[in-house]
Amino acid sequence: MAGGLLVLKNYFHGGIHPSDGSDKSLSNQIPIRKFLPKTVEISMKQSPNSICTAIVKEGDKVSKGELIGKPTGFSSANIHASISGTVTKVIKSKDDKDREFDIVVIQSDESNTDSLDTAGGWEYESSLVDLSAYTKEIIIAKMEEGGLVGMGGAGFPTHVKYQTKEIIKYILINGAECEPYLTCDHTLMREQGYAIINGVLLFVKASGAKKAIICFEDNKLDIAKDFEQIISGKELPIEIKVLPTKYPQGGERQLVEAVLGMEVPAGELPTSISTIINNVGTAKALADIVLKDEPLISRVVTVTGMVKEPCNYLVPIGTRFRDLIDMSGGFTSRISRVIEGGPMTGRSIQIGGALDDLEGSVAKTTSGLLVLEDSYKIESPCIRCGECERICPAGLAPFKIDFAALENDITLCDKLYATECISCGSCSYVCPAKRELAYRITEAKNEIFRLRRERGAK
Amino acid sequence: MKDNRLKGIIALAVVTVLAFGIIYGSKILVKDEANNQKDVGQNDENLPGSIDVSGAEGIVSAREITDDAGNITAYSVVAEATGFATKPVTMEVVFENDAKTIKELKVVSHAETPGYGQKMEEESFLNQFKGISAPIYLRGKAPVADTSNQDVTAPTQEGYQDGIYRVEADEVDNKGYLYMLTIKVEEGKITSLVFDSMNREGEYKSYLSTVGEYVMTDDGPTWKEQADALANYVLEKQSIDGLTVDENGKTDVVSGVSISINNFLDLAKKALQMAKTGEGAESTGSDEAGYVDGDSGEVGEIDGISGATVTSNAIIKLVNNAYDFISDYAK
Amino acid sequence: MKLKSGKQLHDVSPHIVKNWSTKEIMQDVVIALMPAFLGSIYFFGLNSLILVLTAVTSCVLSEYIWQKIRKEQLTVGDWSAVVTGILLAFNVPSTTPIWAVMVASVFAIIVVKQFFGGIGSNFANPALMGRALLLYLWPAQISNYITTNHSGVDAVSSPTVLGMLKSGSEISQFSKWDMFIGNIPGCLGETSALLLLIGFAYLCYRKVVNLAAASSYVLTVLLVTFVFSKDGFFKGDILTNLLSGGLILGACFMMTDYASVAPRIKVVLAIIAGLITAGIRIWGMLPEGVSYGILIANCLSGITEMIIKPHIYGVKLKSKK
Repeated sequence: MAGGLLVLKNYFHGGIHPSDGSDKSLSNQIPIRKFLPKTVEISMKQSPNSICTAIVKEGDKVSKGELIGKPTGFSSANIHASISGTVTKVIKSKDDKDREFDIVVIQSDESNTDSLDTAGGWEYESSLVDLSAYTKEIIIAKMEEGGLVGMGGAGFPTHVKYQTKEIIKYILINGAECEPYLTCDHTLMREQGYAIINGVLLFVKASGAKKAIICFEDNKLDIAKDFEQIISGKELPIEIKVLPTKYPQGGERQLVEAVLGMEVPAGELPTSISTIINNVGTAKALADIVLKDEPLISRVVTVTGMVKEPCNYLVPIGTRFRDLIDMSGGFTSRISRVIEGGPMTGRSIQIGGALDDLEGSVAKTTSGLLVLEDSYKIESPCIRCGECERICPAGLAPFKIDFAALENDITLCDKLYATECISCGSCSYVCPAKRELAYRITEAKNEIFRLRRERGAK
Repeated sequence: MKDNRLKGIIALAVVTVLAFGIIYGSKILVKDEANNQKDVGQNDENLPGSIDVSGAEGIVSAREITDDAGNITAYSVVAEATGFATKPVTMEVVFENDAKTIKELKVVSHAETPGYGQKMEEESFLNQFKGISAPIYLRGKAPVADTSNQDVTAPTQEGYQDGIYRVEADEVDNKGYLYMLTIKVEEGKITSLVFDSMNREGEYKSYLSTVGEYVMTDDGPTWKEQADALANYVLEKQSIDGLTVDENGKTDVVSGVSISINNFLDLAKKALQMAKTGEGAESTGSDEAGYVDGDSGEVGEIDGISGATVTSNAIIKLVNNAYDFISDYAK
Repeated sequence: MKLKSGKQLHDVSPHIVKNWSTKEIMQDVVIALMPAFLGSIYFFGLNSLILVLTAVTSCVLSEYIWQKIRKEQLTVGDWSAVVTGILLAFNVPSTTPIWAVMVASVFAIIVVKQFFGGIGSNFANPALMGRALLLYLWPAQISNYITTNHSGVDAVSSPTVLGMLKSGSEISQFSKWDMFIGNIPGCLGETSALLLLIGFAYLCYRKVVNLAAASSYVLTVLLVTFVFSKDGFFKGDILTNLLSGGLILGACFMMTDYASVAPRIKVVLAIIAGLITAGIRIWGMLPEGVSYGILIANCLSGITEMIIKPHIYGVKLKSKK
């Protein structure tokens, strides 16, 4: 695979522009607020495909940073207590695929007053520190110990990523944040530049890469200046890359296409083309783990939409959603749809209910909590306008897969490469007939994978 | 998206109104131009010697051409007549100061068919008119004068006079066809008769009907077959007497003929009349200008454009109109 | 293994959608056709109004009744039948009998569109198929073109510009300006390039239409008729070909019609249609080849899609997975 370093391509095929900037400015004009709740509910299922087993029980006293959950497979990572206190409950829960997991509820004691002290307290948060003491093995070991996972969405254990046998040439640090409304990465980059750069350098060491490329969209140009300042004149293996704002620029494969001018082969990981991609939040968390000895127990969450005071909050993992919305002044919509994540790929967790009934808590991968006015979509027949095909970042023909899926023709879906769908939701967004293309294609894709696993298991 | 649409609709409405203004305006402009052309003769002060042509039919403009001393050396008359196309043929006729001899003929504008009427622009055609005396006629059609190098005017034998007699309808019919009839007389007898009709593309009904492109009824005799039947009747009877018709022009005298034969009869009558006296019999084709000098036998004959009789007739008409007008004026 | 039925899906992601709809798109097309519609009334008289209204009503009613009888979801409200009606009427001269237009409308909607699955599933442009039907069954009735600004008793029949060119007649009584503003004999909506282009500009502004397909169609026709004209190579009359024969109507509103042109290969199909249209104009017996060119391209869309494969991210088409 040719080096093709930083080809001038700078864009990826397809994509849409769902944001005019006004949604982001709801929450990116004010600094991050710290919020320390009295109760946290830490789920043992921190990401869609990983479940841990709790190692504490009701009545146990835990201190901040203590290990409370152990991984069960290679796709789960350590879970730690994010506040000090007592385990008041261990709730038994089931997900929609009928898998069981626990939720550990911790009630705080009074020793948590300033446990979220950041900015200025530690050296690595205001300057570049000497990292020569940390070798590749040490860093990866600390990743595993600290329960570091990809905080940008999938929550895959980072240490597994870095234990790859492939030679790694580039680390791409994903600061694109292409979803409308979300600004947690933006504000984090604005306020924690040094910490992030330190973390990026740790990633470079952990992978042996030639260089790291920090990428973000051009609606965050203020960051470019800050970062340039930090790295100028210091001969660091870091480069800054500003990309045109387009959804879904933050998708892994789209990032690789735009920045490196290459395509990740279908069915393969980016490591197969010598690249690893990590979210900026994960970089900062790595710096916390290695340089502060604090495992992954907090993150920035954007609470926005139809709430009184949209804002970014730095919160412990497990903070209850209803507490967050309460902090933001409550709903302003008549019938609210509460979404975990962004409007394009987020999951709706409550529609039309009261704030007090809102369930769920912040996980390591929760980037935002979005409240929208609930609305109805009625599907009408496809007019074959071709917009979905034109904007699909994966180059698929969503309307065709949609027809095949409605006929339950899974073989045809496979032939139409439904497995390459990245579930970005662009097709449903753009459809004038309001068809639920992304949903059906994702279902078809999951069905294909399930059938393949079954066949493989035989 | 919604106010984007409102803006778009308003812009569309405004531009449409403007467009209609342009469309309506150009209609008015065109009318004005047509009117102006008529007036240009009398209102145009730049052209010295302009003659008032109001009321003169077919005359667009006219003017006197004078030398420095103010003597009239020639007259220029721009006349028009309708030929084949809907737009008339317009030509400028320059007369000598006798208001009779044509100095030269120039084409101003026409819309005649390319390859046919367009031939009027050729030098060889226009040169015919130089020095010729008005009024002019198509060769062989001149009224009988005393001297003429054409055929005899008095019958020299009993029955029909030998020769080939060609007649055409004066006008194209409303479907765009021009009827024509030719008879050949040998030793006093009509030996052949051809009745046909030509459209603007130069295609004949006889041909079109045979190849199935001109069809009147699905299983009746074709147009050519009917024309042949009529011709055979005349050859047999050596006249058209007896060919009676009803008020629709239909006859039951000839079997197999169901078309209206009025145009056939008109042309046959003319041709037979010519054949009786021998006038107008075709010579074996001289392309030279019917150029008769002198004061006597002032018959100006020109060769029309072959295949474009209607156009030729129009040119004749406009030249003669111009002559009529200018000779009146010069009196 | 069953996938969820499409009924109450409104709580899945994405939670925001682009603020447009099928109805809006179709309404935009109708708005864009309005200038040409007014033009047709101006040039050809009240007959235009009657024919267009008949076509629209017939189309809408056909679709409504059919969907009611078959107990299908009523999609009449998306205005697509209105568009079909207007385009159908635009493709016939003003002397067309009303019953012919009604028959064509019913055929276009019920047979061409609904039989094959309704909007988005028809294999060819319904309006053009309606005209093709009329040309096949009653050619004489729909070939009586009249000159503009004369209607009713005054009507003067006249062949269209391309018809006259084809038979060798002189066409200089129609200036290029006449052809641009629409002052020539022809079908209702095809004569005025000016008014059609105004509407098309509106569609481009609203981003509803594929400019590349329309322009490649026009350019292909012009290029081929320029190079291979009757008078010899490189002597074709570009302006006349551009401004007559419904080329602009076909390019702007038929070629860009969604269902008739498979999305990904729009430009390729436009070029194919252009070649066919130019071919018919130069070497065929008919003077006007726009309808057939576009219809044949419609029918070839399936094969073309199989030949020209898309590029899927990460998939190299040569190697077998």
